Amino acid sequence: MTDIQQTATYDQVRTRIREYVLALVGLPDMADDQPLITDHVLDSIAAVQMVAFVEGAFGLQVEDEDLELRHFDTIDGLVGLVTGKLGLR
Amino acid sequence: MTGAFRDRSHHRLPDDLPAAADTWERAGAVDRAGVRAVAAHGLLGLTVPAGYGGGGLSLRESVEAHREVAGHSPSLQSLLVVHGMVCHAVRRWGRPELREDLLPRLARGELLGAFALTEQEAGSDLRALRTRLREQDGQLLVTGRKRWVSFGQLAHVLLVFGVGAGGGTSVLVPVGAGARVRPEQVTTGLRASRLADVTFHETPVPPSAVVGRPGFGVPHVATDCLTVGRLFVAAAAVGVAEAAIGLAAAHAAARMVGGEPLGCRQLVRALLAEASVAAEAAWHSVCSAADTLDRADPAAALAASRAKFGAAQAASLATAHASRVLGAGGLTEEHRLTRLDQAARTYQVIEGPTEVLKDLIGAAVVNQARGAVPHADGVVCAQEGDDRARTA
Ligand SMILES: Cc1cc2nc3c(=O)[nH]c(=O)nc-3n(C[C@H](O)[C@H](O)[C@H](O)COP(=O)(O)OP(=O)(O)OC[C@H]3O[C@@H](n4cnc5c(N)ncnc54)[C@H](O)[C@@H]3O)c2cc1C
Repeated sequence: MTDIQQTATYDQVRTRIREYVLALVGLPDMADDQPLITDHVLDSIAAVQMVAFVEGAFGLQVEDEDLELRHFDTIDGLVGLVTGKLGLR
Repeated sequence: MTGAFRDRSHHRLPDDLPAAADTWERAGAVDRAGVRAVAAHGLLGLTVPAGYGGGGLSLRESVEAHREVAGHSPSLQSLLVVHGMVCHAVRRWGRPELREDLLPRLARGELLGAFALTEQEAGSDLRALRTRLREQDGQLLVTGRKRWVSFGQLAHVLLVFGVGAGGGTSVLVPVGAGARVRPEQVTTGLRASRLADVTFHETPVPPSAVVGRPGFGVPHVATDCLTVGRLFVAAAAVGVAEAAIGLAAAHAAARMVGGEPLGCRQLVRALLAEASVAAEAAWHSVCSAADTLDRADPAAALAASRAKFGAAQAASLATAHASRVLGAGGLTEEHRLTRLDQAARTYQVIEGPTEVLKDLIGAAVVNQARGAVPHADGVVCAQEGDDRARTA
């Protein structure tokens, strides 16, 4: 999936993340600022899956310093983390 | 039962493991000499990268060792589980200085790590944790009580989960003056695993000992560790199932009933057939879960839960069937089957009780369908908010 890493645009990243999170949550739609972890929308296993997804889908390494709730609690947070690391902002 | 593991010559099991296991079980304790012996065989650093002095094995390779050790000594295998979870947490989520400092010593077994999640009031429900982490003068002060810490009587560092200003946090706490360690009552299963009841009162640790960021210890680091732990316990459960089948098959071949071996009876063959197919299926699911973890596949946590659930069931079935085949002899307290039987029962409770895992696995099955059904929008089970926080 390195093609994504090389050619992804901001919008593509958001779409990919939205699709993944919605599938994980099992809902057809959800707001991008809906808290996932703090509102217990995701179970703990799904929360851990998101880290692996971000690393696998975008060829990134999630480091200890990236582990902040604001990066993983919402779709917006995930988009911010990934686009930041990919230099898309 | 010599797997690929035994063929990797640099990681052989100690030759006297079967005899040592009998001694530990009788004494209700794996001793320090036993721990030194397994450390000398590299068993405490199996999956630690070679650059840190470990064996550098993949999880797929390491599950062979867990399976084999558990067939002899389920108690010793539980040391490999908890120490392995601590190694995993430090490698994956520890700060660089913590990694450089601790991983080589953990891999050599000079430092023993244990996993301190469970509390009196918080077993499978992680949201009920009461251990508190408070910042003061640039340090974290840990206050709380942890129960059922496997090998807590021998460990030098505990990976402790508690709640601090940033939320659920995991921190490596040295077992020293600031911790009171008392032996738990010996459990029937894994009876030699040196369980401890540990109390901290304002025990100081430096901020660099936090593993993962504050707020990420629970659920992230905990669930990540439990995923690896579940895989290891699943491998152990297969080892236990296979060892029980081995005992039962040997008895069925040798024991004469009505002029012919017991193994000529169809009902006895049926018991062995059911047990061996269940064990084989469980092993395949362990191997495939190990592969998903090695690939860092997002489905790994679920795969490990599925494997652990299945393997614990297989171990319970195999030991119950073996007990029937072995008759009275197998029911004596010191018979090896008794150790396996009680381990199987314990595997249904630790590292995610069977009911909790079924709930998780079933929820994932339903979720998959829900995503595909348009009019299911907004369907949330009444107990969902509650259940989703449970993982242990
Ligand atoms: C030999 C041994 C070694 C251990 N080692 C460690 C260790 O090293 N570190 C550590 O932190 N802990 C350890 N533990 C503790 C172990 O992880 C807990 O026993 C386990 O998490 C279950 O918690 P509990 O015993 O408080 O049971 P409870 O949480 O009270 O659960 C009891 C039972 O209730 C049912 N149940 C619970 N929740 C649900 C649910 N949501 N849905 C349906 N049914 C449910 C299950 O059947 C479960 O078995 C060990 C335990 C043993 C016996």
